[in-house]
Amino acid sequence: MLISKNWLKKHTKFGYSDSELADILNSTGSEVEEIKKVSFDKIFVATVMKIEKHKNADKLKVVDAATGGKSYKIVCGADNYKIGDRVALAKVGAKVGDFEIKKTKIRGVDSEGMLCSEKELGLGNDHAGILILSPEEKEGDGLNKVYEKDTIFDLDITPNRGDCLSHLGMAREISAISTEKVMREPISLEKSSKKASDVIKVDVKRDEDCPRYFARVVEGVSIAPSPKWLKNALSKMGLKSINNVVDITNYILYDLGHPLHAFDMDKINKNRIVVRRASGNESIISLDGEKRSLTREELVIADDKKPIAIAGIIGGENSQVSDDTTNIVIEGAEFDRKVIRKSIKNLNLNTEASYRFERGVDSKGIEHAINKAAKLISEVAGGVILSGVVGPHGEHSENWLEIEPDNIRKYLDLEINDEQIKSILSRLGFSISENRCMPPSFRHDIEVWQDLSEEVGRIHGYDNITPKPIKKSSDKALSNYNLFENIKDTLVDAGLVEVYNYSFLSKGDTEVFKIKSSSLLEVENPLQPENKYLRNNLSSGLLKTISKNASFDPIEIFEIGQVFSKSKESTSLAMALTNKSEISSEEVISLLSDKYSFGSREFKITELFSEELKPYKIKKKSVTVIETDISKAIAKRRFDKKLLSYKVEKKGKIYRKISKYPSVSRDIAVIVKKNIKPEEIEQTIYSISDQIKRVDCFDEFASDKFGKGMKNIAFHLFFQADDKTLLDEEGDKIFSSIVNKLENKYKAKLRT
Amino acid sequence: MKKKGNLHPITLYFREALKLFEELGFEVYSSPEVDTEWYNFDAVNVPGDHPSRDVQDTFWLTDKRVLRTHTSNGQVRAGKEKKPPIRVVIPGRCFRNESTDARHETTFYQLECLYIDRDVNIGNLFWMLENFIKKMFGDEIKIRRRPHHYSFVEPGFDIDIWFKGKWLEVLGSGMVHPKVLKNMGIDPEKYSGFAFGIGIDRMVMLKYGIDDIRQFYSGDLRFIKQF
Repeated sequence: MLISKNWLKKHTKFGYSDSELADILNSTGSEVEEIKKVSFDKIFVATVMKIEKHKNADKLKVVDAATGGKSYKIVCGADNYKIGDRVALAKVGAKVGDFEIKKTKIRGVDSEGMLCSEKELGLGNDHAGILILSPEEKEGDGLNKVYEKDTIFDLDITPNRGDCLSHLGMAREISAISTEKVMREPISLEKSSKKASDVIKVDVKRDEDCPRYFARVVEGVSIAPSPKWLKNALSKMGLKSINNVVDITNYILYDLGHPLHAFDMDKINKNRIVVRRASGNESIISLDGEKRSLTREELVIADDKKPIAIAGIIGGENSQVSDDTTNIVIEGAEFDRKVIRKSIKNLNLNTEASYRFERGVDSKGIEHAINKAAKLISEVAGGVILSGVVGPHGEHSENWLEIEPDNIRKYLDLEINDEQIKSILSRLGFSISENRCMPPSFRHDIEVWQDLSEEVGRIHGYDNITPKPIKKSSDKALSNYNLFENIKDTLVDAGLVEVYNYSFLSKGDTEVFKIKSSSLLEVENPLQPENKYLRNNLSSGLLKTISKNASFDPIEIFEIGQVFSKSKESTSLAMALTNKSEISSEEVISLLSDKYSFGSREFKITELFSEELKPYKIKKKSVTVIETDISKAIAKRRFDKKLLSYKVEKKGKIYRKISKYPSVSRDIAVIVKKNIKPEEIEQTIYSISDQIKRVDCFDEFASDKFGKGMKNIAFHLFFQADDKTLLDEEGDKIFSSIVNKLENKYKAKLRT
Repeated sequence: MKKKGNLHPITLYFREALKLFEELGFEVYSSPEVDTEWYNFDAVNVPGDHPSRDVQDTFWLTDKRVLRTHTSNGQVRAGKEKKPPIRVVIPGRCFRNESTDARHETTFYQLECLYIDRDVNIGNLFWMLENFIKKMFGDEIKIRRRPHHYSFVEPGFDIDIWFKGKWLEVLGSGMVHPKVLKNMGIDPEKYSGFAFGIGIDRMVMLKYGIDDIRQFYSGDLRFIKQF
């Protein structure tokens, strides 16, 4: 949610800098995601004098823009303006967003600044074209005269804090910290003697659906474009201006957090407003132009005949305020949160209004909101406010709660006295009576004393709490997890590589792997429709891994993971070895059987040959896959304690980015002393350049024919750049620096 | 001698992280990846008719169960099975139904920590969190406690670390909500506890400077063989 610093100051006084304010917001639980400064230094009101085509680019224009008695040539990509328009010209040196405007040449034409869009100026979200200012703006004025400087905070408000979704709401939070009061001017309305209840009737069918409804009538308004202050306020919230009346209802939403709606009263049949559930075969065209079918779960605002709005979510076209509207009804209501939530889901429509109703509004603030709206509407659109508010105002329940200060102190681990606790709660709007309190009407998230402890903690400051050690337990609790990790170590020691594959299977997979899809668990809402099954084995994933790694040979991999059938979830272990593997499937199985006393019958072994591998796109002579239901295999066994442990590696590893550009590959064979480990040589090679992405040892052979105590060792090398395709010559250069390094460091002899 | 193979970087990270918990007497607890709506949501105070449910995009199965959206599905399972004091850590694979890109995956790992005993308080939670973060990021790391709402805790916190010039959220935490304790069959007037959950993938990415979360599940041996 966007919050303007200037707007906040209309509700409470403070002198915080932007970063101080951000700290306060963060510390009270409203996370600041972004801080955007709105400032317009070196940006001026200019007039478009001439528009020409760019000589070298069809999509660009060259504009002469005049300001301060001088004309500037600007290259511009937008085309939503005409000669005579007032526009915002950022001169050289201006800061627009994060960029400083410089004099540049764009496709061969000089550009002496930039014509800015609403979004670039931080005034809204419109980025389709540049901002066109009102013709009344004076050419040569700084844009600072047109728009006030401000800072916009983008906040992440959690779903329990609907009361924070407005400037008033955030001002309340700040005030609890600053101890400055929230300002609330009483609203005095000039009303006609005519009564609203004489011109409109409100009939709420079920109180549970709509505990309160307030309708105010304003007659004789003139619909027109909004004044500048109103347009600016909404544009800071990223909202387009519609007309003066609708804009005021939106303004109140961001100002006080209460969603209001304005109806054209003359479009309400028989001047009767009925709040009821839809009949089940009704539909409505909503303000966004969509025709929406309504179920019996939808609450609607209807007139004598038909729905005229979907309650709390969106208005209807048939009752909307338009240019010829003269009499309006302003609706302020409270709808049942669960009903609204249901309709959001049914209609797949979430609006600023429904978002707030779903989270709960301030039942005691509705009348204030509607009165403020009526006052502002009469100011910007004229008209006469009829006296009285029509509709049921509902009862307010009183939910008193024990404060339990001892529990709060213990829970927070804080020395804080009763008075401090009560003072914090009362700054947050709680009513206090002896040792009991009642949350303010805008808070819907306070039920138990633990909730109070959060209020006390966040306002008092969590930094005041000192960490305190927990009680240690001396018994070592060992679980299957430890055993699985031990098995992983055994397999890694035998040369296997651990992979993690996705838990999903596609229709194609089930065909290739001949799996009966009717036995599989199925995802109802898969991200990709083809990946709708859950895996019932790990082997198929391992075969896919082999197929993806054509450049590796041999491949020896394993995975331990969860597999699923309709009746159970179990942990599986699978291994896959290609034909050139240095370890055979028999060796792997006997390794596991010996160490963990698994019966060899517990392994399912499948050997696939080149013909059978074709559907998997694997070009190897053969692949052996071994899989076992490891949760079943260990179920009734007890394992020695030393098998319930695993290694924790201390050494940090350096990661090299995988480039998406093609690689250059080379092989190198050298003769070195027998005692030099392949890993050591690999590390040496890696250290030469970031572009060396892979060094695989594929041959190691010691023999005196290479010289006494010498061996031949050979590596596949893969070179890759992160930002481009590496050229062959560049590969040669890396290769020769490797040769040099190995010659110098190991006295290696290159074999050719 | 034959060259050793490699462990997946997430496995490596879990081992390092679990070491600390093991020293304090925590047990590794496993909860299922496919679970009921109740354990995944309702049991941890995320009711279906509340907008807090929408924070997590969920994969639903045709049999009305879910792919767990967090390892918190193990909280009430562990709480029902065991008697306080309860010290468990739950490592595991979780799922969210969201479009994938370099920073988002349908599949990811979490580590959940749950501790319930008499008189557990927020000071204890902060001690555990700082201990853990310092172990994983070094003693010099700067830590920020920021209140945040998670339905299963009250109060709740996000923990940020100062990393490469900005605050970075690393985990969500809080005191176990009394409703969650009740769902475990534990009396919140007698016992209290804390819980926290860490997204492991992102931690591993920070540790090694990995810039694409999808690498973990790509099966790309050029990737895994580096670890």
